[in-house]
Amino acid sequence: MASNPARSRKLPWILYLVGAVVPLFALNGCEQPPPELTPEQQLITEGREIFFDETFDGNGRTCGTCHRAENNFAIDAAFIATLPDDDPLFVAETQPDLGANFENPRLMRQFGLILENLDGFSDLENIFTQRGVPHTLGLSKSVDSPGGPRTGWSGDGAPLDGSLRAFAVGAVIQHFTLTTNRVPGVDFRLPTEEELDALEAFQLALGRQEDLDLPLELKGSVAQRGQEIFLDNTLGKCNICHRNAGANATVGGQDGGNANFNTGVENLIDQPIDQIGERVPPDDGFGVPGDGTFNTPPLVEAADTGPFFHNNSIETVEGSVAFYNSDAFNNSPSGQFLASIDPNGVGIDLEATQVVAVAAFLRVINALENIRVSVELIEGGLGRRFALFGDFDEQLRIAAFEIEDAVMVLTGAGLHPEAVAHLKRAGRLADKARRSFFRKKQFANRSLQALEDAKGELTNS
Amino acid sequence: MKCNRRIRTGFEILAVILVLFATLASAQEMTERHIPVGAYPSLASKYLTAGTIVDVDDDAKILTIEVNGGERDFRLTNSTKIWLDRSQFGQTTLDGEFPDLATGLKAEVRSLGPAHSDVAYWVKVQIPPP
Repeated sequence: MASNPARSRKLPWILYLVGAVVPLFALNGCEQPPPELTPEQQLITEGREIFFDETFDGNGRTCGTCHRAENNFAIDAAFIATLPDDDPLFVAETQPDLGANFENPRLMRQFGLILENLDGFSDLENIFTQRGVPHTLGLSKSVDSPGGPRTGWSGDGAPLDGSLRAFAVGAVIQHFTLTTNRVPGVDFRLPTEEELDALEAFQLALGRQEDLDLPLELKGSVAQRGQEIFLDNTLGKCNICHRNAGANATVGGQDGGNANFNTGVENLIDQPIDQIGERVPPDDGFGVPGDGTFNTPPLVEAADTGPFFHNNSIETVEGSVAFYNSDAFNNSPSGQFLASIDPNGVGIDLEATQVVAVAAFLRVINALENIRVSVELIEGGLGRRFALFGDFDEQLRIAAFEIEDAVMVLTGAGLHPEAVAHLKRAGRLADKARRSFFRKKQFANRSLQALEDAKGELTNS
Repeated sequence: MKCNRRIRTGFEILAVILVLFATLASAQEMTERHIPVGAYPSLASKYLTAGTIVDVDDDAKILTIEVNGGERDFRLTNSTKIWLDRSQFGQTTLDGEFPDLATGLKAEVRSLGPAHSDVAYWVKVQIPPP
């Protein structure tokens, strides 16, 4: 075979090129080798795959259909509006067998409400409730109560032992079925015991693993004042039921766990859902028949997971704080209780500025949580800790949503513009890291620094 | 001082309320209706009694179930729910009545709780394929 002189001349250049590129590939490779997964981490990973991919032979929905990672493991009307019409969320519109009494598409699209048959499946046309989708963050700190686990908006979302582990069983029966006959083995398959273990492990790994320890050293004067009001048991009284802005009550200085209360949300006048003429039965809360109580959600994650309350009745965090000034609350059993222990017989009575201050506090602690989670996600992508969402790009993608949320909750009330600037930079860098091949780690590390800078603007601690 | 006592009393009332809630079943029993008999031993063991019906007392409305070689009696009330689990032949669960509880059928019973462990809150029986 005759040699090709031109090719021979080019060969060294190719070698140079290879010599230059290979180290770049090597640099881009693992900063540290991905750590071997512990059995617990392996279980969480399996749980994640089930959560997002497993349809249980049903109508196509997965747990992730309503609990979206990119939307704080919840959905709302604004997010729903971004979904294509063939998304499994809309099975009531696309599958004839689910066309009646499975969902109310109008209420789902307009208010983010999901149909639940909490008082039984015997009369689907008349016995149902419409509820928002609660997020699944911080569950390790928001389920336990002295009476056993509390899941879902009314605390009774799971069958059998009522645990988070059992929750998926009830959810599959309610939401995954092919028909409203709900026959196991025909309309869906039930999760195996192993799948329940994995799903529980994944859900418990989401979000905060610890409650805050209030008060925090906040830099913003409005949020700082909001924190004081929040913690003042004679003024805001928030900390009585939401100790450390979590989901657990404080009773006589003791941990009362994740309690249920009737706060009168159902009696609030002029709720959005009342304005459109849809017939929705009152939601009676816990038990069958219900006792009117609902479960206490954590507040750290509140500001970016509205709308608020079990029926998505209030859109803004300021509105949700102001609710506790309302007649609906102050005439409720919980409001009456607070009045009974108040020296002046008052339930909750805040000035508008105080409402805004408490909301500012909730916005700031939400942003701090967004930052904490983003740091964890990016570090997980860099191999410095367990990567909850698997690969680097997915870790960065979810981190970018968290950072976006932090920007949203702060700008929504004109809070901490300097922190917002750092957060926007952190978000841009996380996006760049995701798109970059050669400088992924560099951008990710710079994003981490920007997040630290943002945190430094919000708190001294 | 009077104010502190009032607050303390209030919190004691709240504590009692919370403890009262704590004694109520927290589970969403309506989806339990659709779970086949024996499907989740790990979830059921603490809360359900599962076994085979060995005796039915029509007059006293007492159901006797053989469990692990022993027998347990459960009293049914007018509000006890009876469910017929027909999942073995691909049919939906139906509401049942006391005469549907026949000896030889596999059954699960959820009691009213620790204070009324002999009173059935619901009874689910597995209907064999025809």
